[in-house]
Amino acid sequence: MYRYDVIDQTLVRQRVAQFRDQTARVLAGQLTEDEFKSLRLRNGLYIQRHAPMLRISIPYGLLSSLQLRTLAGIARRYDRGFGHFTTRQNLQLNWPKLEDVPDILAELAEVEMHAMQTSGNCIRNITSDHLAGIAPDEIVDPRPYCEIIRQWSTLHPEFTYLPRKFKIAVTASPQDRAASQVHDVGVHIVRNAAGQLGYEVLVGGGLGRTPILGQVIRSFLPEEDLLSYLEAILRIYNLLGRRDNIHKARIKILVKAVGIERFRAMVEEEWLAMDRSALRLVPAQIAYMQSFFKPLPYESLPAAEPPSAADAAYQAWYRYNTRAHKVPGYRVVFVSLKAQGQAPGDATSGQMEHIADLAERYSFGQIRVTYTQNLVLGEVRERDLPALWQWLKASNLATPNIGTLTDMICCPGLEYCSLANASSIPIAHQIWDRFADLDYQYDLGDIEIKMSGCMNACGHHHVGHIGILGVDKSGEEWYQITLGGSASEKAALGDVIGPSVPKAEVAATIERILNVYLEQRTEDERFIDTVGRLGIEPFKERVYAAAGEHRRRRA
Amino acid sequence: MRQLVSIAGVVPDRWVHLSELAGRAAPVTHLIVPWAEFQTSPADWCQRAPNVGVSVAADTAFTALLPQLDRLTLIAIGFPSISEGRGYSLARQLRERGHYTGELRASGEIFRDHMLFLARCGFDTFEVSQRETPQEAFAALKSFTVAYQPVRTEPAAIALVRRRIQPFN
Repeated sequence: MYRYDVIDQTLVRQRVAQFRDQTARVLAGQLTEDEFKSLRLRNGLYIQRHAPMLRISIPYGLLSSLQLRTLAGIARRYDRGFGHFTTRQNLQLNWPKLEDVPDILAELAEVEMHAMQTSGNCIRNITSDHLAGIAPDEIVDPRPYCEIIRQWSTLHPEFTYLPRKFKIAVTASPQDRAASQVHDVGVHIVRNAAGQLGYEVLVGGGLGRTPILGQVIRSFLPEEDLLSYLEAILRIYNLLGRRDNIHKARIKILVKAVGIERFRAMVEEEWLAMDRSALRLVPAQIAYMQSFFKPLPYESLPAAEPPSAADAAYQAWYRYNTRAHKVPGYRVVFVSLKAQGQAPGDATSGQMEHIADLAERYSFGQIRVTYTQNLVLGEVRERDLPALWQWLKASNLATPNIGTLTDMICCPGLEYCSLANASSIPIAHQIWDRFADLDYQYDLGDIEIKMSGCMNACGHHHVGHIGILGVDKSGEEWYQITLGGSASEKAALGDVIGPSVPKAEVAATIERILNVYLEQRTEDERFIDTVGRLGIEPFKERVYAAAGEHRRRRA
Repeated sequence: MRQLVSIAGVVPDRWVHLSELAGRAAPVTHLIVPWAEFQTSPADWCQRAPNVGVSVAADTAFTALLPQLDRLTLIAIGFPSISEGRGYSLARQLRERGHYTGELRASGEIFRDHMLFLARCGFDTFEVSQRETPQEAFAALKSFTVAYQPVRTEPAAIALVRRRIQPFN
């Protein structure tokens, strides 16, 4: 993985000193709360329902054991002993004290971490494929490019006061595991017909109040021009994005207003007119970044046989929580943060330390965070799998449910977030409890449930196979259901099936939807494909027929 | 005279805004004219004082300023709030696309936390907020000694990642 040099280290330390001064100024009354807001947000610090919330950056979701152990220690000493992994591959702490934050940032700086640009109207953490470097289908490892973009975007002088936040995702596989089409900019590393490496660039995607899929602004950008092209896009957005209305300030609204053709023309004009040479990536520079992500010292191993049917529990874990690795004899292991009764994406300090130890013992000391809020030990020898499984089970981290119904994306919701209209975590518990039978989950197959407690859509509900959106109806929590969304390479926005349902009815409503699927599916047809084939009507009918029946009975 | 922060230090400001003149005909050596007024008669305004500059809003189009760049020795870009971001891009367009070499001034709600970003976009003087101390604002120009992005004024204007492979020239 990338290691800081003296320049990176100096920068994060100076950032800590700057933030210490800003915190002292607000505590001394020299800065108003409002003025401090735009400064603290740039260091990941929100003021939330109960306390400040600190969001720590995990660039493209990659952590070392030392870093994860440090996060665990910070969560224990400055917080309540747990953290929440987010859909931007970051970690949130929900209870730090404002006056402790400079010390927390100083501790992070010593392990090459920071909280810069995890919030505020600037370029946010660069996200990527959690299988980067190990996926059998990737064209190249996207992480060197992610790191180049991370450095370019960090404290960028021109783009620190954008109209609104700006999210970039980078992928290098035909399969999109980074939800790149719902980002402000999606960068797809591709090869053209001549075999040259470059990028397909998407712009104007996003969720929130106005969900839109990104559109192609450039079908092939030469490898060397990545940064100058991003700079041209950002400049046009910075100059022309709306600043009068926070809900219309994302780049997607600008692209929609002027149209992709006109937006492309403006970007290309700026790009051709600007001095591109200073940002041109030269081969030696790319090779330098690639040197940090060289293949790990793999052993030459025979490919192991999948486990025999003898141990059903182990077999289920192997089937659902491990994936192929591009090197024979190795497997990718998902650490499920979606156990029954657990807030999705949460991990205790003890669990984090345990995972850090296991990564050191079994996976070259590296951990990956997925945007679906699980962790990954990416490089495990197949022969170590049974032992690793035992260790993970011991910490409740081996629930064999990756990709199933209970592997839900879930925002913190009303319990923590001051933006939320409704809770998310209790709904996750309700769903888990209703569908606790794993065999039933397995029979349903791949289903992505994504849940947000408000229309800001941190839980990506628009792109869930089943999306759940919490809404407030005169002080009561209600939930709107969408069907047919996806964040994959076949990205789609879900359709709302009808009026929202009361809190107590969410899991029952989902069961009715799933019953239609079980009755109507053809052999091996996935839920999302059945919805695609039938449309939402039959699901809608079943849900609201039942609701009508319920009302009649009560009357 | 107003205290002005420049990249070289805190200095007295030689420039006077049109609104600050004692009378329309008062003698002046360095005059800043609002862009809307300047546009009505650029040639006449340039006769009004030996040095003439303009003050523009942050949403002014670079292309509108371009034809006048040769006759201007100062452009002051206004930042009405601490979160105004357009002036940063306009400054870079003026410097890098327009090759403007005169004084580029940031005025308005400018605090120490903005200084380094503004300077790296090409600003060289700063009329800071009345609630900011010029000395503190100037000191903030040294709050970071490293940066990842190339800057026009640095001798080897190349990205840091490239400097790394050509050991830190």
